[in-house]
Amino acid sequence: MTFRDIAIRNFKAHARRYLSFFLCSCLTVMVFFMFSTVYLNDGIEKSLKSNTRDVLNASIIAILFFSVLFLSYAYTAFARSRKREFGLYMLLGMNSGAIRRLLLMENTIIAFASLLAGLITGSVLARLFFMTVVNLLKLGDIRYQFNILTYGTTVGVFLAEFLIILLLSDIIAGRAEIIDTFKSGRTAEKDWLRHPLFGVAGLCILTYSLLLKYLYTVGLVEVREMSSVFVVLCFTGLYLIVSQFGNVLEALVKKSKAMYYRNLPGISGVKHKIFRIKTVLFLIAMFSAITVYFIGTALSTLIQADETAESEQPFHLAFVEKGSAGGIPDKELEQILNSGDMKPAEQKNIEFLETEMASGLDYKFKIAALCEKSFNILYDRRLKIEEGRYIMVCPPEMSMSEGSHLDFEECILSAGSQTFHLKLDNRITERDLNKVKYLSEILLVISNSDYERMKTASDPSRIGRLHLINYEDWHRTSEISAELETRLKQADGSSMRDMYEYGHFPVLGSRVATYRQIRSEGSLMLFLTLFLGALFFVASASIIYFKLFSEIDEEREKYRKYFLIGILEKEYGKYVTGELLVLFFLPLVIGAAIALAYGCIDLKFSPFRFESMAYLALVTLAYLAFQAVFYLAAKQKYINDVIGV
Amino acid sequence: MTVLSAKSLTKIYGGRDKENSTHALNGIGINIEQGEFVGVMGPSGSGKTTLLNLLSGIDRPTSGSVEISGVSISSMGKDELALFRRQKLGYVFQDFNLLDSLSIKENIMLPMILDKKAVSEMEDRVREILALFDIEAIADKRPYNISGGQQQRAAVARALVNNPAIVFADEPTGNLDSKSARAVMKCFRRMNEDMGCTVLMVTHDAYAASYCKRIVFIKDGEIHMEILGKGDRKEFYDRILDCLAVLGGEQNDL
Repeated sequence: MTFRDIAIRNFKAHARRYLSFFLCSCLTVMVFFMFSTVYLNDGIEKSLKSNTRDVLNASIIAILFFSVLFLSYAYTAFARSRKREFGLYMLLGMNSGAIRRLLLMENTIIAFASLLAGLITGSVLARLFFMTVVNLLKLGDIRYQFNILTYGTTVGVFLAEFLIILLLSDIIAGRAEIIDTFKSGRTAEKDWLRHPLFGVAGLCILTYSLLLKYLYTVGLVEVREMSSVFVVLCFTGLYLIVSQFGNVLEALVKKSKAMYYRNLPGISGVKHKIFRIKTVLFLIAMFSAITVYFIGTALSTLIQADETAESEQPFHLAFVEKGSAGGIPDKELEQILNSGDMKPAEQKNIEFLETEMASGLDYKFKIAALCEKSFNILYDRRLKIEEGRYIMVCPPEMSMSEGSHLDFEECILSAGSQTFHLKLDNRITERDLNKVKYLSEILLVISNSDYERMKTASDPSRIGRLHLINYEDWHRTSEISAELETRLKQADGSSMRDMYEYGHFPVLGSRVATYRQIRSEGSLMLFLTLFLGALFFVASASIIYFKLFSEIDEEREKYRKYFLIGILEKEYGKYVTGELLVLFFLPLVIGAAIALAYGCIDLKFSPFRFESMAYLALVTLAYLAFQAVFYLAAKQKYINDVIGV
Repeated sequence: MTVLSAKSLTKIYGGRDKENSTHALNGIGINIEQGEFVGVMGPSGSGKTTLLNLLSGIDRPTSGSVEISGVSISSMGKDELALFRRQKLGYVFQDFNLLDSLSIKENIMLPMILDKKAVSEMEDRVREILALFDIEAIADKRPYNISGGQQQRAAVARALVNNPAIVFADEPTGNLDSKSARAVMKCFRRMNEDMGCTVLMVTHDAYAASYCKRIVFIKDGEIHMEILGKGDRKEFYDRILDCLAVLGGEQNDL
């Protein structure tokens, strides 16, 4: 019998084991391929706004990360089940080199077969996936394209992953010992990293990471690379908690001997099972935290699009006319604003002066100055201000921290060749204005006479006019907004010459356009997170399921031992129910708790924090409900299979 | 006092009417008195283990009845039988039947734990039993960290923990070397002589059987003969060998 014969016979004998590994690889290739058709499409590349691009980037990273973990897990589970087999081969006189060659041959076949199958199924489904994304983003004219790069990337990425797996399998084969034939299964029990204190340490680390995030959010501590620090700390803590849960539980219950003995079979089962699949449980907890958080965020983004657009664009339309920029002839502007049956319900024209502010330091920046009268019109106030003094007006989100470094007791404003020394009168917070090009976020208010003097001194191109327009129903202003934007872009000769260092604001601040953008980004994010979430859910559920059922012989043996001692079926059922409950829900509950805690901290300053938290909670409940259905189905089958009903 | 009484036990595998059915037991009857140490011997396939399984309620007979301490176990339901096994019977198996996820002490305690006994009662009893079999040192170890002989002694201890009416043992020395086997058999003798415990043991090992007081030989599902020990173990051992020779098939085991 040649070596090839052995490989082929081996393949046939363990077809089911190979099949599950093959299917896992195939699924991963397919999903990656589908994502890359969107990611690498030229048309999408050009028309995406940066935020949407970020969502897509994050998804592709998640997919990549997921595929590495999923594949390597599927492989390790597959390889572990074969340790005995290798031991037996060695017992029969096969050397480890021959085993390595056997593995190499098998894995190469699986790698290429699953790559091929994944690409074929991916190609079929990619078009559907692509259309959905294009539809959600309202990018009607982009076509699905056959892109050789998509195939190239997928093949490249997966060959690299399979190569890593081959190396891994080589190590396993290299370490295979005859003794494994007899020991595997029982050796997993021994592990030095088993102590409840590790679990306590994990809880401390996790709590610390959340505390740090909180302090960072409220501005009490400064941390470089906060998100990376948080991720590392949080997931380290999570791993320790999940892997040591059984030991911690045991240590806690042991405090009461009666309770410990009463639940001994259940506790020892939980401890044993958790330890066997701690890495899987950790990954599930991590992914559920991420999924719950992002689905919740996407959902709340989508549902609050109205309110968010309103808070970002307080006026329905806003733009600045300055020099040639925004200089649309009045008649034309009127025509645009009054198109169809729409008529502006409110219109404000506020004049301001672009000045340079300095505080005696070298640092100068451009800032818009308003006269007292204009300010009062803008905000419907009755503010009085003395000559030689100024008031600083900050938007609400800036009043906390950023504005403070501009809080000069005395400032020097330059207009043309002249300079004006002014003293701070007061610093006030006013509601936001639309963020538009040529208008600074912080405004200065000076007395009417100071303003006139500065205006005379300055270049006429520095005089700006802020147009603020409201309609009865802003939802119907899409066409007006689009036309005005086109016209303003034509008139704006400055292109990228943005006067303010912070932020590149659009020429037109339009509520309806912002609303549409939020909606399309939110839909895409929701679609992607739901897609990834569902994929992940199915993958993790099947991993738990396969793990449970691949070790069912061990459980049957355990039941047989209990049966001989005289356990009742319902008693055994009770213990197993407890074990499975922990296995199915522990990672989900911890993951969701982290997502909720993180969301709570992250949304601390959001005006929609309660609504957003409600959505996060809703997603958590939905997730738990799905898992519950799956748990109930798996539990009954498992118990029946073990007891042999 | 009769502890166990079985009448006309038959066991047919593969259905009564089928041609390929196997008659494992053909109407065996046996009585075991309080304090007896009975061995069941016979060639492979003679029905030893089937008999033990029927007598101990692990399996149900095709016909016939089994009474233990005056209670018929043949008519019991599944749960009732499980409770009866837990409270009234003890078992020792060839593969020790210890749970890897529990310590030796917890394994021994398990029948009492399932029976929800009070903590102090369980601990006192286990301490007493550990001392009796001289296995206190391994109380907190896991089964896979101790030798086969120690595991079997722990299994014997567990069989005794609930003060059973009778202990059933299926090839208790089958997996052990001769030194460990001797230690385990001494445990059985102590449990029988010192504690007055009734024991029924299935074995094909003549040395282990020589610790019994009575041996029942079965062949082809029927009782072939019975011999009684007279106190001298060496002499009993020789008689067992003679019987096995008459019975056939086991000579090579010597």
